[in-house]
Amino acid sequence: MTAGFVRGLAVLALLAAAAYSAALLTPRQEPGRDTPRLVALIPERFGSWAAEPAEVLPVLLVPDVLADAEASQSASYDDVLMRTYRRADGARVMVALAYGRRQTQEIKIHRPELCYYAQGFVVSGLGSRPVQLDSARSVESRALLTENRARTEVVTYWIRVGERVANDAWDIRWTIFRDGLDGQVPDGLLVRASSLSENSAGAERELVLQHEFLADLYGALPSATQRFLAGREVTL
Amino acid sequence: MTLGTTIVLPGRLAPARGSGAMWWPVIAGLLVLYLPTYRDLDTVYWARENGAPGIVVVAIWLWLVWRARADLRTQRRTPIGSAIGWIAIVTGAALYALGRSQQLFQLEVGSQLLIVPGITLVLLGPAATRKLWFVWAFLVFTVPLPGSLIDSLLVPLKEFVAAAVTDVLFFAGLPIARDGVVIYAGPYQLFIADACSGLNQLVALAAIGVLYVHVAAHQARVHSALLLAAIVPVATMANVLRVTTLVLATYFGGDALGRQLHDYVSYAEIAVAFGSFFVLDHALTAWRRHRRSAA
Repeated sequence: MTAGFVRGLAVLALLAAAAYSAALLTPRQEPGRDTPRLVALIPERFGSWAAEPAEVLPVLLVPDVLADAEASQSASYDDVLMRTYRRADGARVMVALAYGRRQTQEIKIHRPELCYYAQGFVVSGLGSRPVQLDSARSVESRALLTENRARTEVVTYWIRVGERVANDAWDIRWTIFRDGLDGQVPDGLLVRASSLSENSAGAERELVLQHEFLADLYGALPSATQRFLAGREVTL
Repeated sequence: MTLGTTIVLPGRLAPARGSGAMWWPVIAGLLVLYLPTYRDLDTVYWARENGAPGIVVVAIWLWLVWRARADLRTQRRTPIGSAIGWIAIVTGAALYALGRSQQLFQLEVGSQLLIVPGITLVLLGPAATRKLWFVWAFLVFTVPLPGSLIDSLLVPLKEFVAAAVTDVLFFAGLPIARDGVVIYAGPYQLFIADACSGLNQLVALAAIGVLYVHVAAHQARVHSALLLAAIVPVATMANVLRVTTLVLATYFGGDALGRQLHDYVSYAEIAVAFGSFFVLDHALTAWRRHRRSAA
């Protein structure tokens, strides 16, 4: 054996060690595997709210809309639920849930900013807003004002990744990375509530309505489903 | 999928002293590491958008290695070079392990940029590594852009494409309007999808453009600089042309025709962009010759 060949073997040993460590570090637990269908989790009636046929087409949950809208959504998510709810007093809220069993750095929930933008809306951020779900639990949400030539829609959303709510792209990546080092592939859920407004001045009123809707929904759910929607309060 | 086979060549070409044998374990190691990587790149990134760009880059890389085969035979190792080489390989291996396990593709694929020059430092020495710089630096084009970065690049790029296409067709007298990145042409509503932004073609054309400038090795720095600077505008113009063609096809020929043309036109786009690049290069050469003879 020449010295060159020995060096070649040493390189091989290092590269093989890299491949082996990569296999050891790869997360294997998938807590999201046995999640029931969204249709079964979210009731059609609760409190003074009842689902009704949609009055306008909801904005899809993916940025890249292909020829077939349904297909574009099911290519990105494991489950999707879109409903319009009407309250006894006539107020309407559209809710859209998108669920992905496995969240990874490159395949994860699409943030609504991009989906609305890609579907022809001008999107402006209205900042981070805490939503008080019940006396004990509040989650940080993002509020958006979206407009196109036909409508003005106000949006509240949050994204749950694993046990955390993470709305920021880097926060989501960081959560996936931390869970990954713990050996877990987290699941992910987008909770989006939106309503139509006459104009941009009515945005705050719509946000209040959406927060009421989300709190009413949360209060009507068993604790397992509550956790499915908003995770647990965990501090990093 | 292809990294290994390329390095076989120097082995074949340097049989006399048996130094070719040292490449076999290295090839095996690279295959173990990057065969799965390229398979994943193919399914996660390249398959999503016509697949062309990634394959082009790999094919070019193979050709570059083949072209540099003579340099792979010169061995002049130094202790410092070897030390740096081993450090680079170990660091690259660690980044690979982290990147591969946590699906951080940029780390996983980017580790090539440490491991490959590390290997040449250890086996061939600093002189050959310096000579081969373009070969291993070219691997940068295999590193996929992270999704979040793509999203932030796509927004202005799509907006620009939509605006340019709408303006051109509006002045041509078509009943056309747009809402952000949605174009209304007559009865049709057209979305500027991610692929329509031309970002992937841009990456492929950047790779081809950089290669072209490197291989042509023009004496005048200005010439090379101008060519490099032209890559982005040329690619963008070609893309606007493509989207305009698709909008026209849909408007006059209907939805079905627009969809049918969709894939073919993106190949035409690469051809148009590369053709313009080529023409520009010749124009620059002619201009320089003209100036020289005038002076």
